[in-house]
Amino acid sequence: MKRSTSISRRRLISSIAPVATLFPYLSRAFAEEIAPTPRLILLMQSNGTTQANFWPTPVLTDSKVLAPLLDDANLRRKTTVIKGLFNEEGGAGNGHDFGFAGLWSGYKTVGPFHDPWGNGPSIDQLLKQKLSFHEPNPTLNCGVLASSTAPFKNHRTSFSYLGPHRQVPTETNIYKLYTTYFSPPIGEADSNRATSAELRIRQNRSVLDYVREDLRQLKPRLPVSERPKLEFHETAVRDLEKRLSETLAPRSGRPDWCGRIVTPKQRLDVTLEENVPLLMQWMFDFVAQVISCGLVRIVTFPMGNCGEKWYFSWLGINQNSHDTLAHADNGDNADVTAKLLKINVWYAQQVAALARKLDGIPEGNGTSLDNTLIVWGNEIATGPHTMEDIPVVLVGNGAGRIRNTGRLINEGRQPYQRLGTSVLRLMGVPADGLGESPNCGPLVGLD
Amino acid sequence: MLSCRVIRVVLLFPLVGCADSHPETTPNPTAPAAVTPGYPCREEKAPFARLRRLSDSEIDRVMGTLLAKDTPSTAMFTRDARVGGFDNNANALFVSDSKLEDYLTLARQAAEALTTPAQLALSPCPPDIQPGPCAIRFAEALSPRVFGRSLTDDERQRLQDVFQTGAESSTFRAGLATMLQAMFLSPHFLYRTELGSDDHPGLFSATEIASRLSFMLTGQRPDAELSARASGLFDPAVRQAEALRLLRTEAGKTQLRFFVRSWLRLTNVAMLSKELGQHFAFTPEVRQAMSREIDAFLDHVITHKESRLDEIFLADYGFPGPELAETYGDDLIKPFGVFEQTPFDPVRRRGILSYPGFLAAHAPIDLTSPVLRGLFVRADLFCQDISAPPLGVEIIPPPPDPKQTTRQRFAIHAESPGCAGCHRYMDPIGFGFENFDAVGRYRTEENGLPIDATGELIETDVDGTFVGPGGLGQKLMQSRAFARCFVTQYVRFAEGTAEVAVDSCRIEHLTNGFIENGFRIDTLAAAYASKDAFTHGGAVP
Repeated sequence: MKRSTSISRRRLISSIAPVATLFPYLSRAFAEEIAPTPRLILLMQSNGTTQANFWPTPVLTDSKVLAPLLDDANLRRKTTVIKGLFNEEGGAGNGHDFGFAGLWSGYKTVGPFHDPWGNGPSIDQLLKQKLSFHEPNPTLNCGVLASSTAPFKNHRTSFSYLGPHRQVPTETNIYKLYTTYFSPPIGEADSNRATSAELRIRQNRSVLDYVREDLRQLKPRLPVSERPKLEFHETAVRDLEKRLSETLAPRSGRPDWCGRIVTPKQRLDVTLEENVPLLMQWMFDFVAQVISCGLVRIVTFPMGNCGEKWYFSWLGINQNSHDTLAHADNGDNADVTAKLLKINVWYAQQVAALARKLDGIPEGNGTSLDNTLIVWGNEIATGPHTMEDIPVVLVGNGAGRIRNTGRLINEGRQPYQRLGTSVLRLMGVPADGLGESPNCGPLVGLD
Repeated sequence: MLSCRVIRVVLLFPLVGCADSHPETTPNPTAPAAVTPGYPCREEKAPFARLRRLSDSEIDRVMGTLLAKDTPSTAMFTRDARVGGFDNNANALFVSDSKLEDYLTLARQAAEALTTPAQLALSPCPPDIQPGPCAIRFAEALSPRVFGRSLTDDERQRLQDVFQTGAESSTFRAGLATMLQAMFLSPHFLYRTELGSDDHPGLFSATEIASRLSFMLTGQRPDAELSARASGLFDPAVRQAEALRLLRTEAGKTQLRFFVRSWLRLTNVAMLSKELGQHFAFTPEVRQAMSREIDAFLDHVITHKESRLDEIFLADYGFPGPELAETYGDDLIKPFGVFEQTPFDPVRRRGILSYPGFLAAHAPIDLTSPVLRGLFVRADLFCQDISAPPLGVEIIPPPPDPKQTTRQRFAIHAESPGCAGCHRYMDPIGFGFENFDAVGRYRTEENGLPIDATGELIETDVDGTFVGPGGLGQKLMQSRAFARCFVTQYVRFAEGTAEVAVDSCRIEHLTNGFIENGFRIDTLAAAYASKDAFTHGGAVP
């Protein structure tokens, strides 16, 4: 398969090479320092898949949809496909809504049919609460939501939640992300910069100390039910201070190339659907960079809005993929099936590209992908809203925490919350269940 | 092809879920009764203590009170959850990492803009004053608009410390900018509190009542007049008078317009995308003109028509810009000016439901959807809920067919028992809009076939058929359920909560007044402000 050759990727790869060649021990030391627990990337695809074209054999062969991932022997070895997950809980809205807001939280949606919302914390936010982090940004919720059709329901732009209705917004502006994370470029500060950096750190600290004191004084005046709002705020202030300090006085040991990352020069409208392919490529470049540079540990990433209606003009489809293709995917229409195959292969190509980016970055004795767990989920199982056999693919072994990769796990029907329970455990948080199923246990067969 | 195929035997039973979603079964009157005798309204708890983060639009309004030009805005912020279509939901809004990053950017921009030499020249310090106290004078001047009150002694001291750190090894201006960043990142700027006070147990404080009133009616901190009268706001008559005054200000009109646009899901009209092939270019100029027309219309109703809801739904005129000439075609009585009042052909269009911006916002990018338009009416205009399709139902919407009208395509919903249970509440309403395509152009034919734009309402208090958005508007203005829903939506917006029950006593009483006063939204808002519940706070455990 042809590899992605975007400017960002070339820059990434070219900047990685000397690090690996000249300073292997440095890279290794950094990896050990920054990856005591695995990094996590949760991806969400919308609209399900064509089941007959999706599921591979037990040894991960013969899947038309997953070919971009599984035809690469190296990636196949690092991949685990999970069959049998179901979601029969319902909730507010329809299957898209149940799965989008539920897959990573384990909660049923609440609210009226036309305005459903997630009803509990998603696992990225649970992990943020329960783990300690050396990364300046424990979590990041970013994605590609450029679409000709505004989402039909307001919640459909993010699956990351702090609690009921408390949705973490999805950042879609790639330029803003680069500015926030890499401007000024992170790296060794030179002596001239050091003085002004020190002053800026003092100024920032003074501002944030002021804010912290305000928060401290305000909190006891609030009823208990309202205090979590300020606690989230306090956490955000703490993280911001780490981030500001990191930019101005970076930690030592980070690969040099991390200091040379700059914002893409080409200007794209991040809301235009026709830009989706390039935005996806750039966003995944960015995700690979922040993960591998130790700036973020957990990424949540919607690949389009819930119930996305992309027309896939870049694949020559030019049809409302939700209304006229996904919903019509009942095996009666060869044209529909063929177009959906193209679409689902495209998603697999994106995931494979992300995995390869991470796999191209050396870390310790392996690669960044080896210390990462990518979980590619889907809000529903099939376009017509069925919820049996929700397609889920794991790439990477999470710093060795999944021992048996390269296979299909097919242990019969399992409630979808087991997936989140297993991910929590893999990330180092003891859990017996998730959301509505506090005792569902972890996935059977994943070890 | 069946459009909703039930694939499990158990689901072959009628979809009774939808039978639960009918709220109103009062007789069908020609005009809504001002009072429903013996209506069993539900008692509702008084408002409780809350911390309310400012919405992005509120931040923009507050910024607008600080800087007349080069005003920093939230345009680049990540978008918050809009529960029920409103951006100010107190439960949903919080400060996430990315939000704080946005706030930091905004604080820096605001600090920069407020400390330009030109800005500083507006409020120079006397020559004998030291830099620290001078900075605090600056903060004092901004405090009412930033925090909605004067600075406390503690704040003065701490802000002066921040100023000193900022000015250290640098300039007075750098110190000032650092101090301003602290103010704009302070929770006292980013939130408003409704906690009650020890001085008036069980009530919000005078400052809090002023803040509630001001944010509800203007989306910003209290102006000087309101602050000066804060201590009198425990008196309902004073609140009512202040409310009416605020509603007449520019900020008051903007806020009312914003509420109506949020309620009718019209906040994104200027950003819509459409794909109608080569026959119609839906350019940015067209969609912006659609958005501007809605603003011009709502401004007109608010300013010249006593902000009456019936005018919004029954007006026989538009405010088209030249970019909408192709959209309107022959629907206007005379050549029109630039966003000036222009009569409609009353057979074709009437009320906001027939405005191109509304019709385009409530349609997919290339076709119309009776389901979406019907669901909007059901959910947002009648405050009714539709049950979710049962699990296991394969949902296959009727595909586009060049040999059928949309109505004919969707007839399958009525014929299929798996679909009819719920779709009968939506599709027949949506059919009433079929004279308008996905960009709001009037049409009498689709695919060479005549269009039947007869719609039908069921399970409301105004059941029966209607033709077109104008016909629906007339039905709505006879419906007490619609009036009550409107009042509910206003209270949801005012309180920043989706939890307001349609059948609460408070809503019922407000609806009585709203109908008696001829559907005046300004009077409704003032009446709401005068209710005892508006001032009742008190902490909850």
